[in-house]
Amino acid sequence: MSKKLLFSLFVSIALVAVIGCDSLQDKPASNPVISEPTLNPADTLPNINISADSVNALGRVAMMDDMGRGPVKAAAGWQLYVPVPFYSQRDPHWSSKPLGFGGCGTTIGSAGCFLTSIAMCYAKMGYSAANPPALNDWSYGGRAHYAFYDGGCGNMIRLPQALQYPGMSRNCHYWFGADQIYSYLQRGIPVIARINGGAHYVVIFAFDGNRYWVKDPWNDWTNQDRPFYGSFDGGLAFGF
Amino acid sequence: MVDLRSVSSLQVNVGGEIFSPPLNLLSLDKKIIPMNKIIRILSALFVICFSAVAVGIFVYFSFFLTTQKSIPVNANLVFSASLQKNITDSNMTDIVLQMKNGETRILVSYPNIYFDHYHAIEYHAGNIYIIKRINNKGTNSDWTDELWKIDLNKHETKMFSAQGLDFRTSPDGGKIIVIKQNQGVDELVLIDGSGSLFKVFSIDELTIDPKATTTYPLSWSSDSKYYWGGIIHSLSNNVFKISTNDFFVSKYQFKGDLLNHDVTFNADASSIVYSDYPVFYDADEASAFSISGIKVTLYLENFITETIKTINTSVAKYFQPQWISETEIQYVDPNTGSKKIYNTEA
Repeated sequence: MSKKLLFSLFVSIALVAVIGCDSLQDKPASNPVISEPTLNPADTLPNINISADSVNALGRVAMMDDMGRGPVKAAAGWQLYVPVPFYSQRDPHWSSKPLGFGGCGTTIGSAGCFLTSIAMCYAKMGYSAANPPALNDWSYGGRAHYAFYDGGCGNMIRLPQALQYPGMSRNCHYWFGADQIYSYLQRGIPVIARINGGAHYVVIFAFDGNRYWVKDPWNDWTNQDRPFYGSFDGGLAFGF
Repeated sequence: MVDLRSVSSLQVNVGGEIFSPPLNLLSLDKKIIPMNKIIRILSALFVICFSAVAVGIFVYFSFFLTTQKSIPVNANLVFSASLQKNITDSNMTDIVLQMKNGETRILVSYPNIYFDHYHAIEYHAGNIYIIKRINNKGTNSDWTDELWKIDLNKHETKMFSAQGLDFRTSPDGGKIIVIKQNQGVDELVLIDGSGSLFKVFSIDELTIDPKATTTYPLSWSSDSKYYWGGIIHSLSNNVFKISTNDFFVSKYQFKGDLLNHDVTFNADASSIVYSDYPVFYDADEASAFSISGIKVTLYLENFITETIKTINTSVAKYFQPQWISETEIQYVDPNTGSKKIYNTEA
């Protein structure tokens, strides 16, 4: 009996020495298997390049339709207004963080307009945890920087994945024409606009009866709102 | 008689209380008692030995490695410096020296180093330059970034502080350009190697577009006389050169985009290589472009001579150019996938 006790004691100590104490601790659950969404071919980017004046004209037409083609009177204040919390990509708190996987020296500050526009729309829906640096660093399904493509400079958004934030509605519509902006704002849904051939992204949040207004992530807090500018190259709405 | 070969302990009920006397008091078999003692002694010895080994390993990793920092480091043997998370304390960041012989050495560890900054450390002439983020807790708005200089004897000097900063130190360590924001607009602060102010450059002094807000760091010339930077996200992008002798700023129009994947700059040659491959923020859009068949051209532009040369063309492919000397550029030939050398003087 004593020999058995001695033997079991040695075996126990040896096991602890070899395996260590990790086996006694809780191990994190293995990464969940997730199915990553892919782009619907029907959603491929339309080759549209509409000036700001034309976009605003389409807005006025939509407003007239909405009013039954009656006499149009410029609203005092906003015709449509969707409150959207503002984030600046150039906020010093996060502007120097590498964008996505961090290749090519790009940062949230220099190239994070699309990321920041998406974060503003998440904040509008109550997902304030998905702010620009958090969405930038978001790991999901065992994959770091889930919202980003890891090729090239590692700084390009994978849109279907970026819109897959847990708890979010999967409904999204991209890239639609300028004639649909008004109806989304009417429904209280901000529109991310791809402008100047994809060189920049802004969030359309209001129509003043004459012009659309955007939250521009390039600007700081004091200049966050400005009339729509540049050329419109597609709209994105999600989470409805 | 109690046979201790069949029980390992004995409990005796004495007046309703459970009494567990030591085994050796109960045992009448004297051959068994020493055996149990031996087991206990051996076990204790084994545990002590095991603990000693574990402590030894811990001491090795946590103490012995850090004692390396006390060994004087010859600046001539240091190639560069980088940051790594400390393996025993997640709040600490190690400054790691890459020696010219290929070895690495932890110089020192600090809390608060801004590890997530895209350009958090530089090494020049025996000094390491790092950014610390101080007081960054929760929603506290009173945080600051601090630029520190640390020599190889671990003497620290605070050079600059601001809410958010970027920096580029001249090769000789004598001058530093600090990039910070002032009311949402960039400004450049030129300081000397001890942190004293030379001059502040407002964005208006650096750009040809009065609405520009943001600069982009390029590099110092190897003689530390000139700092080059650029303007991004502007209606009319440009690059600029600051002479540190007289603080004169030269501005040059630039039709490319400094955020392009194919941009590489050489301050000594006053030249930039770039392609017109578009800048993409959306992976699907980039994927669509890659099969579009659109022609992409790789250019060489000299800002002093104001000349632009075409180096090569591709069909929707990158070139990944790199300067390998003041007159030679290496790039990937998109037609063959092999590396090619372009001589700027040819």
